[in-house]
Amino acid sequence: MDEEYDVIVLGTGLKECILSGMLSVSGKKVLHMDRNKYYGGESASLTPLEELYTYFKNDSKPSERYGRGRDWNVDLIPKFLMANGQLVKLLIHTGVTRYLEFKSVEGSYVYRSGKIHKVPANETEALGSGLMGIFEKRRFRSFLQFVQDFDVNDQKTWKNFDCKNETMAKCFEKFGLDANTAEFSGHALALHRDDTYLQRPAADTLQRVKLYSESLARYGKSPYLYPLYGLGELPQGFARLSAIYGGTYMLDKPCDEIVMEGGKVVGVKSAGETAKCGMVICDPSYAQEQCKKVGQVVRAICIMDHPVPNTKDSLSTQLIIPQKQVDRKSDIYVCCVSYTHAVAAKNFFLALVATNVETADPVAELRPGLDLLGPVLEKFVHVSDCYEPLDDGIESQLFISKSYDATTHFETTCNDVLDIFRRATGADFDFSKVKHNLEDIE
Amino acid sequence: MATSTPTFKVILCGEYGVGKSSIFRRFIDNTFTLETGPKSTVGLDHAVTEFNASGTQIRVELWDTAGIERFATLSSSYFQSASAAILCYSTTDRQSFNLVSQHILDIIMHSSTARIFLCGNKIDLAVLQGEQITESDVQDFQIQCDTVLSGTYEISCKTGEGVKEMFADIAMVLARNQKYKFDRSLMMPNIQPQENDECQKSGKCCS
Repeated sequence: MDEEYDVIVLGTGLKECILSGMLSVSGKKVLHMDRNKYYGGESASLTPLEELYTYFKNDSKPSERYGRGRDWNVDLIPKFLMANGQLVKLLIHTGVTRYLEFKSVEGSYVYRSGKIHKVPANETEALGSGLMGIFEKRRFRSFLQFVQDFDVNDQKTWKNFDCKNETMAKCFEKFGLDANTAEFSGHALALHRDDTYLQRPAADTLQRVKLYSESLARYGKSPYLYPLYGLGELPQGFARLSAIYGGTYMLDKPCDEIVMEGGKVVGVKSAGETAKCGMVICDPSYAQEQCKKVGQVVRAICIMDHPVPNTKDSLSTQLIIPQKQVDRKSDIYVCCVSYTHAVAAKNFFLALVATNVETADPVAELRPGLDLLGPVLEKFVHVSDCYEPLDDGIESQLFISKSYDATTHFETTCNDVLDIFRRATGADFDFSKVKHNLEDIE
Repeated sequence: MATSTPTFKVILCGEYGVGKSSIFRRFIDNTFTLETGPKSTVGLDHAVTEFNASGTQIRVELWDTAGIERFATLSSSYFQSASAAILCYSTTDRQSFNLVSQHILDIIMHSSTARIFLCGNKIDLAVLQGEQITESDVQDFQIQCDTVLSGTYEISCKTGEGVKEMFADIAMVLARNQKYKFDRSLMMPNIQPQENDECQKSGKCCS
């Protein structure tokens, strides 16, 4: 404990574990501590099922019909991985994929006027979709073709549209897409959480739509992946990577104080001992005074004995309710996983409904999402505060991650991780370095 | 690589410093290092070796702990889908033997499928320093554990004594219990094992 480290990481949430792994791989001496006995912090998967009841202070015991508690791994913050997204790239380049197994998510849906529709992301699907009329379909198809060829670094592919200066609203206009088509493109394909993107330059949204369709092209059914045994496997995988490269792990270790001298981090005090370091990386719960509250997310975790209705009995589903459909400012996200992912006992399903809190009655805000699930056996509702660091940490060398948002994918998570890595080391993460070393070891 | 060869995940468990990484090194390239402390474990992940267990070809994938057990618990994913756990203690360190039952609980809790093999390491030192854990200690413990243990071994990673025999024996147990599920038509008799010819002979249980 009273050694000196380059970096001390506090909390074993996914972001902290990825960073710990990346820094160890880059040759830094890392100490990684967590006040909990288990790995994962907020991104843990709770097991056995009894733990979920304890966590939510539910006094009752899980019903016997739920089978063995050990068969359950319930994510506190369920999310999916985009098959072609940044987290998958990080997993592949760091070799952490070898510790995990994934399944493709079966269906991706969007809500429109009281009904749910499969999200069309390629030309064939678009032509068969009930979301658009026949002429709109043709316009949407030419939009998708444009996106598929689009390369932000190659002006030739921009088709005379200045994507860096013109807004996304202008882009929809160029293709003659109506408000409905624009809505599901922006929310169900580009995965924007609200409508502010319409007034921003189009390049970002076009790249997001491209990511969606490229991810979809990889496995066919949906662009999303989910790991067997739950998301808690992800931080554990990166923690192992960090340990293999020399990172030291301490669990069940309280962090009493982040020691500062002259406005700069010099160490971390725990149970009377101080470990020296040049830098601290932590989640907001370890440095609340250096954070500000930026909002709240409400999440409902539901146990069900059936798939989400009207999804062709998909054993896993992502469903987005665009904000305007239910007169809100932010979207409602629904996702569902099941026993096929080794997160629930045979024939059971776990669904999550999540959104940003906008009113004084957060539970009521989830209603449109919950209504789509059909009968629910058990429901755990949780409102959590979202924090962001007050500054970029460069001066103090105290780098704090942002709380996990309501989105059901990891793109924003990875942006935060790569951004912290850049701020902490002054350079982008060098993926090539990792590969080389791991091959040496094997 | 022949994909039809069944692969078994085998994990190393036990207290810090009992020589798990030394067993791992013997497994990958039959080497030994006198280095101790965290440095001796860093860099070790997992490795695969093929065994021929009385005519059944199997692949054993051995996993090291990455030294995490020094100050923290092993993660649940380490145990996941393991077919066997080699639970190690040092024959010169009573404490490491006393904590074996704790590790057994951990293994059973995290993996319903793993068979547990008890392995006492450093018998070369025990000869020099006087044995801390005697045969009767192990026998008593085995009686207490009843059917929990699938085998017990005493080895020295330094001299190599008993190491090959242990792996051959574990491979036999794994192969035997897998046989009834194993589709003969998938076997490829033409494919020669790529390494570890020494392991071809059927192992002898040294318990």
